Amino acid sequence: MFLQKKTDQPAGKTKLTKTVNLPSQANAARFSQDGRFLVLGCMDGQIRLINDSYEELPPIALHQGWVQSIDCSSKDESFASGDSWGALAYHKIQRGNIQKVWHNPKAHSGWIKKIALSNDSSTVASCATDQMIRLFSTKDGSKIREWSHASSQPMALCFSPDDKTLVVSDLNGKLDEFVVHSGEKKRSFDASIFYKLDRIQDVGGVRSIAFSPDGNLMACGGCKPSTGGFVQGMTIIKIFDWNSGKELKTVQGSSDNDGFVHDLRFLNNKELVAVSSGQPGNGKLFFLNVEENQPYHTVSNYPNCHAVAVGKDAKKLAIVATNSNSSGNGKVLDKEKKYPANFSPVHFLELLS
Amino acid sequence: MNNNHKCFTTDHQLSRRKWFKHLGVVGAAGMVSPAFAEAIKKKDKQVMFIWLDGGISQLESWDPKPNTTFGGPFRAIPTNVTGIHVSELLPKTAMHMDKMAIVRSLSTKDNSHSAGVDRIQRGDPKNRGVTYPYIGSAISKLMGPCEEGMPPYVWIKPLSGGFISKDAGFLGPKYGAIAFGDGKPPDNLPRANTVSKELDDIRKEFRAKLDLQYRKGRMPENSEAATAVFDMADKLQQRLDLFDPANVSAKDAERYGSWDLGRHLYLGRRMLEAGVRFVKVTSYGWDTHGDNFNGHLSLVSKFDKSFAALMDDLHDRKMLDNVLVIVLSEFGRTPRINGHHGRDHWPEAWSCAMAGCGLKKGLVSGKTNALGTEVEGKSHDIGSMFHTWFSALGLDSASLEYDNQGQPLPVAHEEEKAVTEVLA
Repeated sequence: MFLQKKTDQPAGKTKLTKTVNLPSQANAARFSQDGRFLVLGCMDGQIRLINDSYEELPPIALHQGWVQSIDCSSKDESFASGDSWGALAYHKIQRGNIQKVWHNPKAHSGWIKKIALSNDSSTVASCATDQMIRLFSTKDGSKIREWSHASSQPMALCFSPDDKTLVVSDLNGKLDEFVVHSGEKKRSFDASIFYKLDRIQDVGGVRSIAFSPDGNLMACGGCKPSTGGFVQGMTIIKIFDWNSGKELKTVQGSSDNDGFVHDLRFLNNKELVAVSSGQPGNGKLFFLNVEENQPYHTVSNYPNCHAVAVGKDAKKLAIVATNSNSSGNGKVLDKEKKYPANFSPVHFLELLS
Repeated sequence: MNNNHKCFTTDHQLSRRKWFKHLGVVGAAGMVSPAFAEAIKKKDKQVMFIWLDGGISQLESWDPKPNTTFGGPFRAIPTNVTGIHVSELLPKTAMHMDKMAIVRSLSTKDNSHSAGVDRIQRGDPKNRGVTYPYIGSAISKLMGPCEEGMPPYVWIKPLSGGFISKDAGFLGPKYGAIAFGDGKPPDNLPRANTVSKELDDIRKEFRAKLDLQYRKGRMPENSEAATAVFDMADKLQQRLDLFDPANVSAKDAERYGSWDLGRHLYLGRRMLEAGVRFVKVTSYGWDTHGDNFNGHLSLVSKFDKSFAALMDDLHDRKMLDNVLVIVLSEFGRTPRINGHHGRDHWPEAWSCAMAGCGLKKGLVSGKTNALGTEVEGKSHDIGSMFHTWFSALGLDSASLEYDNQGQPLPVAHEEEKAVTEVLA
């Protein structure tokens, strides 16, 4: 988990500083601890890094399928990655070079949906469609503990601020807090608004979880699905008081086209930033003060955003969006009469105070 | 059959008026030439047609392309036939590959649902100014009911049921589908408790007399059709046990799954056993323009369990010798993954899975290129599949014709040919 600097200063609006087009679509993005590198997990199975000069480093071709999730250490320049074929990896960035620490190609038997590093960076937790929660040592990749999450398919997870517990969210709209050293379930949070059974399709799920820097608030994001198939639904963010477990707020979007809050991060103890992706062409970057009922700033010109990374001291952001005109029935050709793949523009934004 | 005057659930009513309304639309159309009548009398073959409405992704099912640009997050897994792989979302079905045939070279024309559903289920014949029948109505016409006398064409589906004459096209409403909405019989099918068997017989006799009156001055086929559908309803009345949930064992309920596709495939199997010629089972909700991969994770996993249970049962009961199983949609889904992580409509290069009578086992025919964007080698339009299915059922589709009031019409597109590689 990325620990931001504790501050109550409100964030201002944004200024676009650079856009880097990746050759592939990306699922995940996090800044390294020093903020110099943006680490991205891509659909072509590659990990890509962009440095603070906006140059792309040689990609890391270690994973298979999709690199679904990335998390960066808050202690040093290292990061973990998980892919859709069940592999986990851990790398260090040393003097601009990437070194593999370990790679476990069989960490899970299914699609790893999310990974999270503990705040002390000693442990990486992962959840997958095999409905297992597993903890691995970042030092050597050895498995520390595992337990089943048989009640529903896990979708996201995050360590609590003290690293003693792990919050796991699932497809059916529940968040369970587990004791890290035993795997015992401690308490649950209701987020069933994030789930719908539409015909025979299970739709929705809690897609993202984050804690405020002071550890007092837990936020989770997803959507309130209205249909399967197209998967339409309004963006939803729920905010809980972590100590009492009480739900403080549900912030709901206004259009079924807006879709999922795929990623959210706290900027400080009162504000968070989130991105959403819905019907092709729809996507939002928005800023929310947890004491207010609606975002105070929304940017709608980045289509289909799937990740947001917050840089050191919460002064910059990176948004993983999707190229425009990404959809269409049949063989939609580009100007060169080729059938194109879509890609992710990565927008680097400066936060204006 | 509207024997419950208090019933207002019109979708489930097989009312006399409704029957006649449908039956009156088309007259003597659609008769098969008498010369072929005997040749096409195939009483022992049946069809289970599974329609995944909206379009299952071929890449997340029958033609995976893992680790490629458009391959998505899932792996391919081996089946029980060496060299054939399917998506990892089909682990149970993969163990039935030795009984199945997959055609990976479908290339059809329509990328919209409104045109695609009709054209695929009608076999997309040449336009001759007539509306061709859906495959279920065609089989109903060409092969007739099985010996048990059950309705030749039933459609098990979510939501509402009723009599669906639209499927029959120029064949006339007699060949329409009796749809069991939510897998239930029409609300008014069971004889009302207040009507004794004796009274019901009197009513039937009265109805027969009315039919005689109705025939006067009308095309005889209309009244014949009316009589036929009343007879079908009468037959169904005798098999209400098929619909009784109490007759489903806990083990079967678990094997097939509690979702509607599972329950409906189970009912479909029972319908085949009862002697229905053509059973269509529809599952809605496969139009995954958004969140395709989580969607298919949910949808295909459920299909896999239900379909594998059906295959287990058909195999164990040795029914695959006589039952042709077809899994189809109106098209596949785009290789390109859109911004909502969905896949759109893709008729260019997709797949059909089959099993059972008349087909080779453990076979894949045709192939797509490495990215799944084109068929490599010969592609097949839906007309080819109609020829293939007719041939598997013992029908000579190259020479067989409908007689539409004197207008000879081929039963399948005359410029298409069967996919002979999959025919036994």
